[in-house]
Amino acid sequence: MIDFINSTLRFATPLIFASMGGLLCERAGIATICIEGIILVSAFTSAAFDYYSSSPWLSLGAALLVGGVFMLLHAFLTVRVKSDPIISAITVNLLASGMTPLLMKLLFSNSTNTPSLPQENRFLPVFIPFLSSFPIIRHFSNHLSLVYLAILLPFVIQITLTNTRWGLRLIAAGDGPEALVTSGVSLNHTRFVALFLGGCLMAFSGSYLAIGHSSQFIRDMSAGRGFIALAAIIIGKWQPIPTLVACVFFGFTDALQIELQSSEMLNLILPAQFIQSLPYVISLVVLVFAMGRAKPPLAIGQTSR
Amino acid sequence: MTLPFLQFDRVSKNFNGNSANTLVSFEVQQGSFHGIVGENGAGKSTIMKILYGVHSPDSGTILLNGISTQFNNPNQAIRAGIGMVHQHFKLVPTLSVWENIILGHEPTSLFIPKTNLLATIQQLQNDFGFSLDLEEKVETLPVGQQQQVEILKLLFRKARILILDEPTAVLTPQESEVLLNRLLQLKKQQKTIILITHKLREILEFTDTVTIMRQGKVVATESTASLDEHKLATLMMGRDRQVPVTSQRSFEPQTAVLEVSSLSTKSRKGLQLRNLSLNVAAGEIVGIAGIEGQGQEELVQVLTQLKSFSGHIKMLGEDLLNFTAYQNRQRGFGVIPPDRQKNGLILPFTNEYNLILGHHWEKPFQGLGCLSFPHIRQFAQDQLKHFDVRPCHPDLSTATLSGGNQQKIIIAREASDRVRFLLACHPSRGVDIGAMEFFHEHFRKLRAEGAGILLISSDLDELRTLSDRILVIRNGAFIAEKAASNWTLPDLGLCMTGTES
Amino acid sequence: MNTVNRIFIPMVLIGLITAGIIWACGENPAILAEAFSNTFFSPFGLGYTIYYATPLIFTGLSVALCFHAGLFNIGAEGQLLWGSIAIVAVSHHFSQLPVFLAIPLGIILAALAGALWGLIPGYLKAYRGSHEVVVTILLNFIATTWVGYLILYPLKNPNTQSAETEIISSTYFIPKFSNAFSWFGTELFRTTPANLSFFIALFCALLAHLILYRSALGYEWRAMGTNFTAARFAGIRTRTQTLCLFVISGAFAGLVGVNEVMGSEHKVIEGFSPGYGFSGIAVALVAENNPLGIIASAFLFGGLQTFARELEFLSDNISKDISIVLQAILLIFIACRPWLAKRLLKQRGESHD
Repeated sequence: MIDFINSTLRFATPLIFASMGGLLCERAGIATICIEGIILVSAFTSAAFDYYSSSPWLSLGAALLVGGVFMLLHAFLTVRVKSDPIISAITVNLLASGMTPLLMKLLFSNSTNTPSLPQENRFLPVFIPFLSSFPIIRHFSNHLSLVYLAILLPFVIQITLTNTRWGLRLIAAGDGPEALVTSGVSLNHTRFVALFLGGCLMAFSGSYLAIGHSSQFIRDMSAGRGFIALAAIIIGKWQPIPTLVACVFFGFTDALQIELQSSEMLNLILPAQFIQSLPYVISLVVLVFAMGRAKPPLAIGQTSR
Repeated sequence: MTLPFLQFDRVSKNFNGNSANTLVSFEVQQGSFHGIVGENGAGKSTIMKILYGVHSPDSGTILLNGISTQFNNPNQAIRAGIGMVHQHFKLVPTLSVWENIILGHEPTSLFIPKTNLLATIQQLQNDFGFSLDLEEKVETLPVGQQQQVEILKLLFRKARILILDEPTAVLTPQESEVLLNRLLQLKKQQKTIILITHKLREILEFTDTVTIMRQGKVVATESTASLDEHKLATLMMGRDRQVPVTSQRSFEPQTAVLEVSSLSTKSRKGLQLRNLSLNVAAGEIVGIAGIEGQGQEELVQVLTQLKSFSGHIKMLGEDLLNFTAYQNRQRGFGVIPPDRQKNGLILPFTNEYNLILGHHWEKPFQGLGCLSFPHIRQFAQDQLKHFDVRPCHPDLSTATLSGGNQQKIIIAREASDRVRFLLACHPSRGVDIGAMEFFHEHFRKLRAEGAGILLISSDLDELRTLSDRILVIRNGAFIAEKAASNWTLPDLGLCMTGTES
Repeated sequence: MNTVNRIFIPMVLIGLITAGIIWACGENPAILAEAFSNTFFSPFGLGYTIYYATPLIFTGLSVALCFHAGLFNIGAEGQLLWGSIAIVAVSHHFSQLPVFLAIPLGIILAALAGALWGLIPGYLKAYRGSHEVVVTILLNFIATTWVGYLILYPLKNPNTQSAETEIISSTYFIPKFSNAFSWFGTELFRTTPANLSFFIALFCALLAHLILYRSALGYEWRAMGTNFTAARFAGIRTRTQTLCLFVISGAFAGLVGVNEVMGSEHKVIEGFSPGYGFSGIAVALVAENNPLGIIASAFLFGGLQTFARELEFLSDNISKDISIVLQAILLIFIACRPWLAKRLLKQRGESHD
């Protein structure tokens, strides 16, 4: 049971980072279905950088930069060139999914995965002595530092959105761009910054996957997490804490799937593929039936008619 | 007080060759309540937007405290102490009242010092007599209070001149009263108020001075005390021209083409139609007069089946809902929509395609689902010639036509000989006199042939020349009905603007 | 002229960028010329280009039709999976059908399966107001996993370890170009997977063209896409049409299975589509959603894929994924073009002053 909860947390972590990054972008009024692509490039960047530098933290930094820069491309296409955000995001996704194997082949002569990294060059579990003194929490005190960060992140975002002027302007950029402009704030600037930072947050997710959760980058290793994160945002109604809950739930289905795959019996009754599809099916059902009409940030609603 | 505080000196502005303002000159004194009044399209909003830096003038100058001023954008105007409340509020609906007020003027500290700000804003509220709940989300507030947020926002930015563009258009009478009294209070605290409106009562009761505009020009700037309702209405509408109001009805109308009884609509936001009843008989033109946004648009949406309603509507002898919107078109229902570019035409399409829109499944335009180009071309050529559309090319994109010719395409399509009930909304808006007379002649011909026409227009001359009866709509309800010949222009104006019913 | 511009300029641009990438990868750009001639001046390259272009025509049409009505169909990827697996399923159950029944049945069921998967987003968009982009993305993943199940369990080829279905019955085979040409005694297109389903794609493009520009239905769709409010005002049933469009788009996407399963591989291999659905968006954009233009732009992208294959073959450092990168660059270029044009115009205007 304890193992299962820990496993849930581990699977939820990349989703939380990705969805928090996406949430920032969407709240700023730019539809962002390119989370998937950002996870890919940042995962690749950290794996490749780690291979050469042997420093997970430096690699994380490089990944953040690359994630941010890729989102700047999305920002440039949507904000400056005013192209359709859906097409722009698909472009970013295509670029990411093509570029990673291309570079991999170039750098490592192998277009399916990067070399496996030694244990000491990866993120290591951080044991928190303070937590370990409590009776039950003690069992959850041995995770990667990124896992703790992920659980804190939604609260930080919540506070940023509601209690800082930057957050205020970000919300205004999404829900009332005209109001922001008439208040004398640059809408484009606000959105550019939001998308860059959003890209950085998504990059945490990629780094975690490549050099935390596993020890290498594997082709298409994001495996749809970017879209699950997007679904989590929608189900969380663009609010950080509910989105966190949705992410944890999706982490739970992931953990469940791993659990079930190992038991032959269950696999016969309920094949792994169906559990794999569970997050998507649930997202779809929630999206369509439980929520009625989703109410995205106003500016996003407008771009999609 | 010898030097005028704000002075417009021969300001002109053209939009694509249409002049919106011509040599506008008037003055506003500091600490006064100044009204600007005029019909729709008289150029009231344009001149204020020039002041506010939204538009730049083609010629002329604006003097603030005797100094020539031109703002390139609203921010500069705000910094100079000028604030404007637009007709459509510029608020962030999901943020709270105080957040909206400080947006763009937040202190630079890491976290927003909420308690301090709330105290500051509360002080502002006390000073000017507002009592909003600052923590409430703007989207949950009634429209009247949202407007107060806009005003508070300006006061927070220390605006000295407040411009309000048709502020009462969206308010209930009670809310309007509250707002106008509040503006009076602001005036007492040395703020200068400029109120754009077309409601005469507001001008007469609240303003000190008033500028009357018509067709982009200033007709007069007077002290309000020297004016009365009738004089103001005459100045605003122009002289009471004797329009040839002749009852051209060739026979007594008998069969009704449209019967509406106790029609109401529900909506959470905005206007509701309240218990409308209306008959249009074959061979009759019924006019609906009203200030814009009093329910005309909703009525059109109901009749075109884009909006649900309660009550009964019979069109051409059958219940409206027995048929789809498309089928009703086939049965002889034509609509000239209020906004030809938005609702009436698919601008990038060719003229011939626009001429069959809504009739594209009819023979001979299609057979077995395939469009029959020779027939469409033939039909288009006939129609274009008949309605004198220039240039007369069926395969030219409608976007390239002038406004008047675009409208002719719609009229050719919707008001063809087969039409038995025509809903005509602002049919001659923005077209020249020649085209307008042509349309009017065409409508009269349709009437003589036994079609019923429901005419919605803001052009009172048009209503009076064409209609047999005129109903006045205000705030979603019909408030008066008379035979067209029994309405005088000032009567109609007063009734529409709500000074008299 | 304009179409020449649309296809030609991107090609030159792509050539230059590819040369740059190759040079950066430390290869001799001369292999570019070799890959180019292998792609475009050999029957072998042409065969592969046709083979790659065929599914792109289908998905391009699928995307373009929806675009015309202002709708986004990102779900072609899922729809084509169902179309493919449907063929295997029908062959599994009716393996003894004669050719003249089997081939039409396979084609119809592929289209039908895609159409059914398109029906879901169509219904949700039209009647529940859901956002079609999010819905189709989710449906893509659901299709991948569920079709994955069918590949691995009920329709699995028991004779192999890899994730692929059984071979379909030979009556469902659509002849390859090589077979067709051998009837005439030539060896043209030998060993390439190009097959006659290419002509089904051409036919579909023509059909789509006729529907869009010659039929009352297409007239309604284009009206919806150009001015939605006016279309509604004119009594066009926008909901029914939305549903209808997604169904037809789904059917087009489903036909990808005909090329893949009936034409070349004769089985469904897990993950066979290198993103045909997403590439379809690029194909449609380059062709400005014109169905006949889509044939040309599908050839451009198909050629790109063959070209990338050749490059991978000729070089140690370059993988065929370069075609995806080039697609993305092309999309960026297309997105920026109006903006670039405006800026250039502005600069020219300033220099005149």
